[in-house]
Amino acid sequence: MSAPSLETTAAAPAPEAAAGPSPAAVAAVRSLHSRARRRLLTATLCLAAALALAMGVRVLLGHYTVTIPDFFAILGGETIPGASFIVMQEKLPRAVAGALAGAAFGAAGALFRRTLRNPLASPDIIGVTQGAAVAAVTVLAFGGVRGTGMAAAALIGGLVAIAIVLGFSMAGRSSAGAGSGGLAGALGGATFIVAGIAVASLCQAILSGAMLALSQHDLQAAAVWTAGSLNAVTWERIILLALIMIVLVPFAGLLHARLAPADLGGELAHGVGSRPGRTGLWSLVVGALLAAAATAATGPLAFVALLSTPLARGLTGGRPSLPAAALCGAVIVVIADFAAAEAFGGVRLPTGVLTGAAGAPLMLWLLIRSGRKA
Amino acid sequence: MRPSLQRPSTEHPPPGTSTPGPPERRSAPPARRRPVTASPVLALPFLALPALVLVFACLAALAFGARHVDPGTTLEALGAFLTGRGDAAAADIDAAAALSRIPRTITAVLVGAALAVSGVALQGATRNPLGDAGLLGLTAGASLAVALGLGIGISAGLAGVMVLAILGTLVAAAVVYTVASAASRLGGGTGGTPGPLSLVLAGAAVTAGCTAVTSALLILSPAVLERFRFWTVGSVARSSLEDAAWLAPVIAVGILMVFVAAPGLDALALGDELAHGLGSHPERLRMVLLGATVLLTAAATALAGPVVFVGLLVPHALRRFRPASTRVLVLGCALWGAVLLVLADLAGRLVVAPQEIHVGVTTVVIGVPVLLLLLRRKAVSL
Repeated sequence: MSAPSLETTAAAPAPEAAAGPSPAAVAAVRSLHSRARRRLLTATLCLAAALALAMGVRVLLGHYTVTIPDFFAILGGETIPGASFIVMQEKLPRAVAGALAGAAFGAAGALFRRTLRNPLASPDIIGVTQGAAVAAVTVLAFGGVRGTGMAAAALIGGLVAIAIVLGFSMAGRSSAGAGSGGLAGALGGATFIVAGIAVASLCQAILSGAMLALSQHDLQAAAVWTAGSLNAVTWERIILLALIMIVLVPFAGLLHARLAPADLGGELAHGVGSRPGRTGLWSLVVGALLAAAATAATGPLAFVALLSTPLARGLTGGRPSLPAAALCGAVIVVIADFAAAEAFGGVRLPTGVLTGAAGAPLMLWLLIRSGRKA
Repeated sequence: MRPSLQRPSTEHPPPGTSTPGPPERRSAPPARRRPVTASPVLALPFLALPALVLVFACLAALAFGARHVDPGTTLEALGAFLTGRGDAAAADIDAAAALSRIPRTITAVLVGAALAVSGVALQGATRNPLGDAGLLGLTAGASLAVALGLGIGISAGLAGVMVLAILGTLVAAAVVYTVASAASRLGGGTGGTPGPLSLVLAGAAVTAGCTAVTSALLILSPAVLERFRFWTVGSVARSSLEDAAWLAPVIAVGILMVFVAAPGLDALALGDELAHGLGSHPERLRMVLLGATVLLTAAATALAGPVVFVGLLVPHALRRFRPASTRVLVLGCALWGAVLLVLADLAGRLVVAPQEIHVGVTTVVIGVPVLLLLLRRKAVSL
């Protein structure tokens, strides 16, 4: 499944290649390789362009339209009464936060997807984002902690969630006999996913209960933490998220590349010298941190991490790519935020409500499709 | 005698694995069975104990809360209520406090019994140890349908809510079952029955989608929000006696359906072909069980909103005690389910005293650790 188009097209010249590496066959394979690479590059560039376009639309259009010259004037430091405030405090932060958080969710989803080899085991299904949200809400409600402290709590919450899920599924598997026990066996197995879903629903219940009990009339705050919303983003949060991402994204890229053999499956990957257990654990940690950092900024935006990876793979022709997944996530969040803010008359829906409603049918479709392939 | 705990080891590789090599060895360990000689617990004490506990739990639920009422006053108030002199007794403020807790206690009893029995039925019908109306997305579907109906403005009374809840449950069940069986038939080739993993995943997706749309409706329409706010989290705090009286017969019918079909559960647990061979009709049985599940889930959701994990917890806990027959198991589940929900509601009221934690939250907080333990002990084979 890692590169279906590559394999299916490669099947055509295979008979000649079997006789011996004829120059024509070598050339054919080489051109296929470069074609796949070119497709990846094209897809990534297209996604980047789409992101720029989506952000432009988010900032310039909508109920309050800003002209392009005005926008650049404002960016240049000029003050236009009314427009300056709306652009700098409302439209631009939402666009930037959406892009950053979406990219973090997308990268986390790609890492989880590659480590766990299961399109449904993404951080928002197995409780990482919900755990981060619970931790953030807890320190906010009981300690009044904001800013860095809240982000740190969210990171810890995400890590704790994944640790619980891993702990229970590993214990469950280790009794399953030789060969499949231990860390590598626990990753991505059925027990792992069910434990993750259980943790996710636990966190969700704690969140909604806490929301009902603690803030009777503060629906806006409730929406941020139960569904995920960009209503509460501030430049402070954006800078914090950006700093965390600058540290984590290089690691994510490195781990994603190192885990490439994992796409071959456990035993083959082992054969080519990859240690999926250790590297996989690190990649889960980095992925969980990325998802938790994004959650600290925007709340648990449902299904963004789940959907960006398969979408990106569709666009790149089946090649797994971390940048493409991150860009996909960013585009999804920016568009969903625009639609949530503008498409429902005067009411602003939380962004996560929109991604959740749109994502559920797609997840069902993914489930059917993965059943077909497994 | 332990239906659906150990499914015959049909292997479901995790979806999406593109392992080209030999399939991973994921065989279940030899089942940790109790010695066969252990005699099943006799039926009478098996049912008398929870009945007794339920009586005390209900009395405690009436007496304790934000305002504690002494036992004597509680009993007096209850007596006055039962003899129809409740209004007169309400003059005393302690008695009034106890009386005000009667509707929610009755509702908790009904909802707990309904959900626990629906869990037995669902686990038997789908041969899936993780059968729970909440986990499989049925309650979320019912909630969404009711919210939609309120949003359009078509539901007047409780009858409307009930019809909507049944419709929502049916649609959610159909979607989950279709998707899950498509995913599992195409994958494992085990015939029509979907595996627990695909059912749970489909249920999670349906829950997430329905919850998102429900909260969108709540935000878009303040009128719905007013009536529906507590419905996003299961709660018995606002229940009324009229609602409970109206839905009690529905729940009774649902439990009766499962009770009548119960002996077939053992046959069903052996698989369709064996069940056929034993002279039962698996399809008909499954229809009855699923119908009962829909009725019970819809009634419970109409009364209290989404309450999850009761259907998972109670049957699994009771099976450990080897009930004498499946019928005894069903009745025991009804009683212990009621106890669980009454106590969960009481605990939610006591822990953060003037405030309260809704029962929908409490059951999840109790249920998830139990589910994790079940997974850890491989009591649930996936």
